[in-house]
Amino acid sequence: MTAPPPRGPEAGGVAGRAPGGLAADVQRLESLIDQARHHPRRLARADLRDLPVMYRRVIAALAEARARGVPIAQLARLERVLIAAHGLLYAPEPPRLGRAFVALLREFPVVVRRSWRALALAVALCALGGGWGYSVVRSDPGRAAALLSPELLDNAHHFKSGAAREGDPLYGAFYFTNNATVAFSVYALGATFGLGTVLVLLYNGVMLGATLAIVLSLGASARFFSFVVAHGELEMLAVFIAAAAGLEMGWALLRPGWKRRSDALRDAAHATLPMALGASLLLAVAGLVEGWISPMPLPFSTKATLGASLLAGALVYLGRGRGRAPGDPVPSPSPRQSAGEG
Amino acid sequence: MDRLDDVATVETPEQIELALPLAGVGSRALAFILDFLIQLIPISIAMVVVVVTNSITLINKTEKGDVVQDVRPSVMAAAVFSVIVFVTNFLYFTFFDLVSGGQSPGKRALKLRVVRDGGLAVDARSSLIRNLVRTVDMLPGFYVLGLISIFVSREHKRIGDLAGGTLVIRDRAEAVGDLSALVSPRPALLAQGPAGSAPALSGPDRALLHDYLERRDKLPEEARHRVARQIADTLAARYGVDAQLPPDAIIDQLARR
Repeated sequence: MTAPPPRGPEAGGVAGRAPGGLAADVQRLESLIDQARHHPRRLARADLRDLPVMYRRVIAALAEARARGVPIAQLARLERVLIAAHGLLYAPEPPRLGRAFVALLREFPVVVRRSWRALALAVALCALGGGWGYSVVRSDPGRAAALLSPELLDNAHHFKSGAAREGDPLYGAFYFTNNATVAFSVYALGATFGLGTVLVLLYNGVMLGATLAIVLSLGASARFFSFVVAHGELEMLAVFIAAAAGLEMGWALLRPGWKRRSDALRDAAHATLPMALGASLLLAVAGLVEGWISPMPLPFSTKATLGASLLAGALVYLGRGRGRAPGDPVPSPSPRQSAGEG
Repeated sequence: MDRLDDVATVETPEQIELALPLAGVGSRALAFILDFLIQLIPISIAMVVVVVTNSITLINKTEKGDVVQDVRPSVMAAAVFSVIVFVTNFLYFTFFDLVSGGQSPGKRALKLRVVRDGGLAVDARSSLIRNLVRTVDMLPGFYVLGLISIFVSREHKRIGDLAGGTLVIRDRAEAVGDLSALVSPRPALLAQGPAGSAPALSGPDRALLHDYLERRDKLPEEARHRVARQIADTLAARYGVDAQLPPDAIIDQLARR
């Protein structure tokens, strides 16, 4: 021990007690906790040294008081400050925002690859709904009104007759917030045993199929595809990824294996969170393109090239991106398999 | 005081149990209503801005006839509006969870706190999951699923708490009693502990005692007395224990060192 810290009397070591007694220790611990909670990086060196010392002194006092049979009600203040101190001392240090973002970029491809089955299922469900919606409306265009909301119906007709609006990156904000809300919802709905996610996928498939059928029957397909082709691929991919995360959660709830259901849900939700967050990043790119470039009167081939390269870029990133998924609470049964695909 | 089922027990690495007092439905609902009202503030401000810009655009339109008119301000206002709604929806709770250690303003007012399952401070992942899944708790309306989950689950968890691995606990400052009265001025057990004047046992002697104590009850009466006498005589001299005590008393006293 070198010079004693200014405010932490070290008289008797950890086992001993400061001159002020237990009351002083508790008070010091309370003020340290308050500081640590709100400005953790502003704690002085002496404070950092004092925090565990005070914690151990007070928790030893609690153990002693319990052993002596002190009524629980009198120990409430000790317990409260100890719960807080324990929660701060033993929690890992939170990463800074920039580091967390880099970690997300590295984890995202790994987690997506590990969930390729769920991703395939999401695509299949949407295609199933799409096929049904398309065939129903194609055989009887009148039934479109039953499948689509008036707004979507309007939208579809808009491709036939509506005036073009200008491209503006600001519009991207609408598309991004709408689509990211959908992505977060299909992820969260996994907690309904996956049922909600499945229904949303089917429903969205039906709407897409029905819209496509109307557009084709109106003969407005050229404009429709010209609008959709630049951003649609990336957008769909992102929503499928978020939905796959939801399906993983649902599957964990249905087949928890040796875990408790709630633990299985928690592990799956934590393991697949990067998919929901990563999907929203892809949607930010797609939204910008949708608001800005898609409405522009560019030749179809230009837009198609842009759309294809966006999709290809995303797939290359997802397929080749290397990195580990640190803090992954799920003991993956086949780590070699998922690593081998990369 | 607390009912037994209203706490989640945590064992600290010091092997001492702490009881986290779980929050009740009422205080959680009140906290949410407060938070909801606070969330309405930025949203309604943005809404006012949108309405104002829109009407300005409209006035310009009627004054200038139907010529080229600038809709950009109203587009910009609407874009900002959608972003503000999105951010308050999805990041309000997580922001405050991380900035103030698990307390949104509503929870702070009601003296509640979000922690992770083991009582640890909430982290970004758990908080994000807990609050993304909030949309499911709200289904089909008025938090019906969340309420059912709180009533059914052992630790009063809504679905978001289950998925995030979090708890909501009460964090109320308790009435201050005389803390110094809780413990003796110097811990009684430590005062006469091994740090005192009595020398500690050497390894072989400790092993000898251990072996004897383990077999003591199985030995025939006579053999037991003989062995005990032998051990006690040897060790009493070596460690300075009163040799006049009965052999087994000496042995017991040494074994406690």
